[in-house]
Amino acid sequence: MKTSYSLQEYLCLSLLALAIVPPLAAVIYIFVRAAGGISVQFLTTMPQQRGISGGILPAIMGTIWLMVGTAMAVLPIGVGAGIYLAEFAPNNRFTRLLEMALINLSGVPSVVFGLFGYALFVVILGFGSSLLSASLTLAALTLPLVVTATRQALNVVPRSFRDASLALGATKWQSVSTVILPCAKGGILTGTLLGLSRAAGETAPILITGVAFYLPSLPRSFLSRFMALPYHLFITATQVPGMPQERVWATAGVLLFLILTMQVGATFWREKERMLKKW
Amino acid sequence: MPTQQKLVIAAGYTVLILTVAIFVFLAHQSWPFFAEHADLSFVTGDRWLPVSFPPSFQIKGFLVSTLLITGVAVLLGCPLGVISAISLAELLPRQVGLVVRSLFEITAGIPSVVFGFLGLRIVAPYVARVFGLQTGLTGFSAGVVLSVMILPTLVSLAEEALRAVPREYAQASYALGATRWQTIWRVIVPSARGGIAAAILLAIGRAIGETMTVLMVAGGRLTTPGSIFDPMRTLTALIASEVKNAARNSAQYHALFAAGLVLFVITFAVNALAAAVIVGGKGRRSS
Repeated sequence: MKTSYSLQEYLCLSLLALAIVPPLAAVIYIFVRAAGGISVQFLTTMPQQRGISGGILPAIMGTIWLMVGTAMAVLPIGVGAGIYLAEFAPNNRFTRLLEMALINLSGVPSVVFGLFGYALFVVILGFGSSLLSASLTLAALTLPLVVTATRQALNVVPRSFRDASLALGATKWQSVSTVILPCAKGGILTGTLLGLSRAAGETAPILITGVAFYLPSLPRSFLSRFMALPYHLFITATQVPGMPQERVWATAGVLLFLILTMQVGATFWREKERMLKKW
Repeated sequence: MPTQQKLVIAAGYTVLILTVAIFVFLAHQSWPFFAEHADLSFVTGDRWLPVSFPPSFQIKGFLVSTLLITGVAVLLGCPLGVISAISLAELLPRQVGLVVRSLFEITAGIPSVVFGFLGLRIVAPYVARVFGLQTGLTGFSAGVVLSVMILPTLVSLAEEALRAVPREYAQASYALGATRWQTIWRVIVPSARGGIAAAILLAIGRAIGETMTVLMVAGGRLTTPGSIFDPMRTLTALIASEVKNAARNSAQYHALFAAGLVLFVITFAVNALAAAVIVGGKGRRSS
């Protein structure tokens, strides 16, 4: 590719810069502003006076528990569905319908997932406003991400691997479970981690299904209500008069750090896996 | 067939069941509302008065706000997104492209509540100053923030569409003496227009469904906005701000689910169109 550009091409490249610089500058700005508010005490103690003093420990723990719950619910179903679509789905109308459903599901607004979770988990199944209801709601929201990641990871495993194991007399299922799935493990985990990082930042669905702004103790079980970082940020930024601003920036910084760490970790892992592969 | 294989098939079907279930639950929970208001005033009327007596639930104002904010986001975001995709797919050296792509992935990970917070503290005051407004918490400010938020989706999908154009097309164009820019603009972009259209549709769907940013930045006035520089509230923000305080099975509760159903139908239509373009395109190419 030649490296000299025409006028139009320079215009394109400068618009690319215009697209990528503001959000990156925003990320850096958040971390700079957050630095003033973060301390060991802020990260490890309970909040006091509606978050005006004290720390954000229960919000951090709530977000971590929420991710654990979401992962437990979404992994079996999401990976299963990905395996089905990549390996077993016949090439027919019904499969195309499933693919359309998958694309549509990933486009459903998060607040609609919240309404759905409220109707099904909170009310009809009787889980109440709880960590369980919120985890299941976020599992539904992240399902299309995990399915797509699993499917893509399986699709890049070379055909010859399948042929070789089938030629050795393995059944279709044996070939999938002992040969193809282990090869795709890295890609599946990366995709799941990316999905969970998305779940960690969601506010609207958990607002409807169980998050609380202030609780006197950490959640005792999956049926307890809980605090979470995104909701804590939302309330302290919009609804607490006299809130010291550096504390709000610090909460935003902690949330962003948690999510970006997961994302960068996942991406790094994916690249490492890719380099180790000999096919 | 081993049990595990049956479980895998069941998991696959779950995707379809979940999509249908979301529709069914929204319809079920909003049924009492539609049973009482069997006319179009729900979407054509302007009065959302949940605690008046008698209460009134009409969502035209929220629909108009959703449309206006999405419009701003798309008008600002799409040219930028598509051109960024062109730069990434055709112009940048491979190594630089890799870096820029992962930077977009990072911005894709910023949660909407953080974007909302930035909009509240940085974009809104700036918009107020530049346009001489009393408050910067307007539909325009929310649209500006949304235009940044839809970029990663738009860029990665549009880039994918551009890369899917067979290399022979470009080679044929070069062989005829075209420059690189002529090849990009007259051959590659037109060949990828189906995929680019799908990318734009999915970005529109994302903008319509975005909740926290518009809730925090758009201002929240309940009436139909007269201009994009008015404070306003979208369908998503309406649901997020009121559903927690609505008594279960009250008229307001059912009306909010009805609003959710309308939102679901709109995004479903946009996404189904995108899906038809994507899945249809796949079928054509393989045949």
